Amino acid sequence: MKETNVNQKFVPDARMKALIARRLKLVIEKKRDLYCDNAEFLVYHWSGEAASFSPATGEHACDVDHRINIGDHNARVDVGIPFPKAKEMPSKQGKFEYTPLNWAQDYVYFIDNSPAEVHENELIVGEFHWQLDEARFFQYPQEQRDAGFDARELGAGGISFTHTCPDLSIGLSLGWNGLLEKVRNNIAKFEKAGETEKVNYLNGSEIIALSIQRFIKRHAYAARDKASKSSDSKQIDLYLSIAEVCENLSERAPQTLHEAVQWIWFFQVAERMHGHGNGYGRTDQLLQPFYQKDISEGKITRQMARELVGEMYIKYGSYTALGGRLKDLSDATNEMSWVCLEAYDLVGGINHMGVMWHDDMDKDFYRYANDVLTRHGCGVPILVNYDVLKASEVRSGYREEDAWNVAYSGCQWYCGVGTEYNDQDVNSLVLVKPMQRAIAAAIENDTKTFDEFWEMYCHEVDRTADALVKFKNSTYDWQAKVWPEMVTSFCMYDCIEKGKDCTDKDAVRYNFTSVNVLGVPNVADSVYAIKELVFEQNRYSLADLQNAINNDWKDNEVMRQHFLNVPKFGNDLDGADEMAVWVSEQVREVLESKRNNKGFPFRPSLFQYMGHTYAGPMLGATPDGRLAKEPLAHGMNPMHGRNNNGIAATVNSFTKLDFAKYQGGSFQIELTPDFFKAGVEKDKMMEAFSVAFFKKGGVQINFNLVDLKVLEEAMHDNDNPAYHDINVKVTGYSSHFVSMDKRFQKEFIERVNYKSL
Amino acid sequence: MQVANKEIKGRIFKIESLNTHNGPGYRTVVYLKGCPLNCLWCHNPEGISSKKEIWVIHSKCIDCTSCILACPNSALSQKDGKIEVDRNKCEGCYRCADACPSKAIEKIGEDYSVDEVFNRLLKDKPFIDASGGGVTVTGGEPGTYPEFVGRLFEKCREAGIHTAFDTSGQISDMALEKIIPFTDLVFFDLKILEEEPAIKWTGRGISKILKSLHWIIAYKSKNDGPELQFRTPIIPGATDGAENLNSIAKLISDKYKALFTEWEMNLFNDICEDKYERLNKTWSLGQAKSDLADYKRIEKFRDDNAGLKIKISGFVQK
Repeated sequence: MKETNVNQKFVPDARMKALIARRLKLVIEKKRDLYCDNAEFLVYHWSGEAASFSPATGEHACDVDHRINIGDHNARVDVGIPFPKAKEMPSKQGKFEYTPLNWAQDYVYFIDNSPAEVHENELIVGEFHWQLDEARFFQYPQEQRDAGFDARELGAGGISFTHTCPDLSIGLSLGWNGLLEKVRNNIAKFEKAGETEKVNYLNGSEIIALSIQRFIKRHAYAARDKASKSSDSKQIDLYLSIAEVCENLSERAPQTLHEAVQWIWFFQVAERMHGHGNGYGRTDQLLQPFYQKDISEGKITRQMARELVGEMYIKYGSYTALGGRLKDLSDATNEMSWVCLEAYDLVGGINHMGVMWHDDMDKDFYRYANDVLTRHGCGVPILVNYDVLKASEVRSGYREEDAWNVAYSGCQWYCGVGTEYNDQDVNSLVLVKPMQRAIAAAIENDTKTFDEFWEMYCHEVDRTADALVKFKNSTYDWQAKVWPEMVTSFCMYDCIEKGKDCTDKDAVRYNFTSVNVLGVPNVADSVYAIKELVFEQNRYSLADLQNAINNDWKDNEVMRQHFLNVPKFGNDLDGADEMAVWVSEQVREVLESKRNNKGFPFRPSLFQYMGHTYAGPMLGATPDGRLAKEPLAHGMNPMHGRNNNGIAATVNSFTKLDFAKYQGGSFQIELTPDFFKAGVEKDKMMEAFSVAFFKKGGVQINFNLVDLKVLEEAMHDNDNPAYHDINVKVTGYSSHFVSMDKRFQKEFIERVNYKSL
Repeated sequence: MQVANKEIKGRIFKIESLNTHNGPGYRTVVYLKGCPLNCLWCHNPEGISSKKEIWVIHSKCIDCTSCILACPNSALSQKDGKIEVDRNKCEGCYRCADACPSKAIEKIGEDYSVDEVFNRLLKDKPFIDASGGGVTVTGGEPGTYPEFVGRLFEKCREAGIHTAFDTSGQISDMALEKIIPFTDLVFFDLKILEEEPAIKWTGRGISKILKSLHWIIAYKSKNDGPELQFRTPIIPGATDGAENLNSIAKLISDKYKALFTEWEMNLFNDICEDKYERLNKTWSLGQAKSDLADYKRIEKFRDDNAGLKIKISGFVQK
């Protein structure tokens, strides 16, 4: 929905308006774009090239001709040039090693040479222009890459990189001096025990902590410098306030809400310099003590609190969570939950916060969440079902005392705060591939029954999973040496204490490997059609079918229509839906039967952020009647245009799956504005819909209100400023519509299939 | 002995969930097929005949002619590349629809038992409960299936599902006796109050309709409920004249002022025109649709009649 058409509840003042205008300007100037290497990366989550994600410059940068613009939700601000000192990096001076300490030396040089900038009107400062992988070599040894190509051949892939959720309360309570002291105490401990490797790791942590302190302090200098050159008294006050806060934070722990928000933002800047992808936990829980203290001391008003949090959203609307439950399972909603949501109502735009609903949640707060969602119309906040998140963590093997502190942390995923390195959203299993092999094998063996065909399919899924296990294990053997995540590790439990990086084996408490399974609805619909038309009705042979799909159904339209019109998942029809449950359960069981070399099982996620758009042509036509040019289904959502019985039927189909057994499966809804008839209270209807959806067992709702006509115009007129401020929730992430890759835009428009009731 | 609910059937041409404009909250709306009236503006012309019918979605047709071969009555033919239906020959056996690989032929009307529809409603119950919604029966004229609607509503009552009955009033006292005691909300259509124009536009006079209204009013005076709302479709040249609207206003303000909760005026649009084409019927209202001037006029009528609880609904071309 167009931002300028949103009726905000809180009105930004001139200062906030200027910051919001700058945010949009950066978008229009393409300074927030996020690229992935190529179509292979989208589909297999590994491009076959470097192991990093979205470097814009440097030796690992994506090829301009092949890269794909995922959207403009990048935390970095592009300045159009590579990192100026890339060639002088310590590791490029003949000292590259696969060790955390070597990595740390590069990081220190990198951040020391990243500018500290203070912009007009800001109160919260800190930006970055480059990622470390634009300056430091990021590639695994050949053995790992060979395993990667083997896995891709069979339909799987993945990276391992910054998709976790640190617990910022660790840093908020210690501050950088406290973290440094903790590191030094542990160095002493391990020196005494003679554990050199751990000492080396922590020596790296020590120099990094010191470099971040310098980075923060440089912001204080920059602000003072600007204050001395300014004649605007309001602006001088802002600069001096920034200087004071940065000086404090370069050493001690934050004591006010302003300091706490600034501490969190600096942590994100320092951390995002080494990778894109983490969530940052439960903002309302993190900030509530600071807010309460400031309010009771009369230091702050609610509006000031909204502005501080709002400024952080303007910098980057990170993945964060609100609501949920506390350890005693009571409602966690607090005053700060409201402020965090109100802050969004103040600044709008792209944001990735999730509200974690449960049946005991403050009803007024949840109503307000639905009010914001339907008024802004762009998927903010994402609605998730806290009890299902927690149940799935417990089912995975989480201890109760850790499981309550789960946070919605990424597109469709969630994470134990500070306790889990779970590889969410970075691994892929393309289910169409084993199905294609099963069809070929069944033809070769002249298979006569569906049961035999199914057995072949199961065997092929297992082969793909095994190839993925091998690839991941090879990655895990090297990860902590190739690309440790040392800033993140400051705010993870047990890492500093163990002298190990959070990416290492036996470092954090939970190390599952989560895998996005691509194409479940297509495979389910395909297998169901094969079962009906090939094995039960004997209408077509598998060889006929294979021949037809190999030729993209050319000259076989009647046959295609037959396959297309066998009942499909998403219409609340038992046979087709049972197959969808069957297919997803099968891949779940296969994955859960495999263990990684960190000692934890693999887990499926019924989601992929955008691979379904490019996978279609890459994989060819499928037996569900799909043409090669069409995308695959998005996550577990029914294939576009196949669910024709209305949303309620789709919800019924969707919730036949038990989402506590999976790591996420978002339900995507795009509605046109006239869906809500005049006089209907949108917030109440959305609230009722989502509560019913969650009570049926659903886990996540991504909701967009889209005017199809406007989007179609925008697609053909990307540069027209009239369309620049249309925000959409693409899959699990947000973007401005015009920034998205063309194919994404087309797919987004095509999926709007609830035009009328 | 009473006939079991699984034996009592209604002919239904659509069931839709999450409807938001046929009563409070999310409604599951059941459309029953068959109507004693024949309003020229009807938005659900496929609901007028009580017979099973088909129609062709030409955009989905792939010219395979499977349907023509499947028809036992030779009711289908191809003309200018389009499948045509001879409605005098079609008996609604649906063999053509079953044979069509691309689902271009759609069935209009299937028989469902009370239990089948009720089980379908139970699936929507979480939405109904969370929104304070319920079930609404409409059509066609749902009152032509008194036993079916009465039994369905009785079961809904037991299950705590709010029931709404959308009627033209052109129904028997027996139907009212079966249905109204289990109804929470009645949408009662008041279209045209003059006999001659009523016959011209709707095919029937209005005596039975007024009788039904009196029956409901009498019932309300002895019982706690049902809630009553009036509905008037605003049809250019047919119902929207000042004289007609004033006479409806007079009727309800003189006698029933305290007895109804809303008078909905539904502005007219022509989005159903393609349905007429598919049914090989003529859409006699041409380009007629409510425009902004109509909206302003109705708005003024609403403001002039402040006590009549008028709500304006429907699309307007602005």
